[in-house]
Amino acid sequence: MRIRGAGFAWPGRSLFKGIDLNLAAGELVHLRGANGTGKSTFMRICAGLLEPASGTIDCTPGIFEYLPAENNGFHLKLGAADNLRFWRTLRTGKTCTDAEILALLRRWSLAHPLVAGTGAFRGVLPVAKFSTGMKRRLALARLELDGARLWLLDEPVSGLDEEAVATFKDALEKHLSSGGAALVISHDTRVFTGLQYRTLDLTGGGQPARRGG
Amino acid sequence: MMNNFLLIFRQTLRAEFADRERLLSPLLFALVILVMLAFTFGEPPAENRPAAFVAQVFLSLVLATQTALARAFDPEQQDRAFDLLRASPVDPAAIFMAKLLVVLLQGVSILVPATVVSALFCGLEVPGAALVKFSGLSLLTITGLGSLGVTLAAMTLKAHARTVLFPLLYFPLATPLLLAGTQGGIAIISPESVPVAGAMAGSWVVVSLAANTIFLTLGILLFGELVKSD
Repeated sequence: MRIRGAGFAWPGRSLFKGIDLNLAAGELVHLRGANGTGKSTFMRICAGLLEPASGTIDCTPGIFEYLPAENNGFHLKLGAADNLRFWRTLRTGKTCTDAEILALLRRWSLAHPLVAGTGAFRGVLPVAKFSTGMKRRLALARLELDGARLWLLDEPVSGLDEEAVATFKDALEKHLSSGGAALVISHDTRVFTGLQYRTLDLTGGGQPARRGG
Repeated sequence: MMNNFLLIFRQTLRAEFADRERLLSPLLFALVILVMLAFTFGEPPAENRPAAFVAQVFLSLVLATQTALARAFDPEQQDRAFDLLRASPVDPAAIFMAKLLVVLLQGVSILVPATVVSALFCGLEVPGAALVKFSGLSLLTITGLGSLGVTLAAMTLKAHARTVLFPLLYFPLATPLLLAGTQGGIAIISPESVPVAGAMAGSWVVVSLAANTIFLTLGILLFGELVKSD
């Protein structure tokens, strides 16, 4: 993904301008800034959901997966398996077996019979009944299943317990080492501990990316 | 595109079936309207029965489908699944067609009981051939209403006053379809009451077809623009 001179302003208020960013294979960028500096707005621009006021975003369609901050993009009345299967097939054109889904749910500690049930129990518990943390874990499990090259993650570990944060870090490391890239907003810096990453700070309208980790 | 269309259609249908309130409320609404009309007017005089039957079917149909159409994208809006759909490499026409097909099935699930109940309440026996033609015209009307409704539902997704804006746009634009449905329906059900009934029915079918073509084409062409980046 290549971003050149991206800027955005709400009526009467400029959020950021002149943001440049190249995100290459295997790279992790921490998008940071104080509350209200436009981090989530920038992420929505990167995902193609918002038009920048200035600048250009070059990103191959379909190579990224976007996870918003307060939602997970599920059909809430359906169960975990139905949701995972739908997004996987939509993004990759490939189906997945019950065994694959069960293994993934186990990895994310979601293998409760009501969540991961198959056959007669399938879909007994709709995603709407999940706790905040369970929904987030399911969304992160979907990231792994879909295998997108670029992850655009807005507060991915919000509401997660220690174990789930560790699982996410493991998934992120695997993703980066296999040539994937990630742009991550997170106020929880545990996510970046021990990883090589760059920082893009939007405080004051945007600072050049610098190396961290 | 076909694979994505089928996939989104199946998922939307699953989501509708998983939410019984969404599935049943338009049908119950249609039946309540019919019962209220039956209690209010009783059995109409013999010469008015065909017109009353057609009016009741279309009145219940248009009001019940409007409630379903106005919240057509609610399942995707609840957890911003629609944002993820928009960010996916999916042809917007596939999303539009999948939604339309689900709406058509909902429309048929209202039309069938509404036709039976209306005929019973009006004390009308509709001959088989006329019933087939009337059902065809009704399906055409549902398709047109669905195309228009899904387009307007997408158009008003980001509007703050969506619940007010949708019917304000929907009802005036649906008028040609409803006129064609009711006038064509009377010519089909009661040919003796309409001069040159066959030609009249044919003309109204053409009007309905024209409105269908316009709304469907506009829907397919505009949907992508309506749901693209803010």
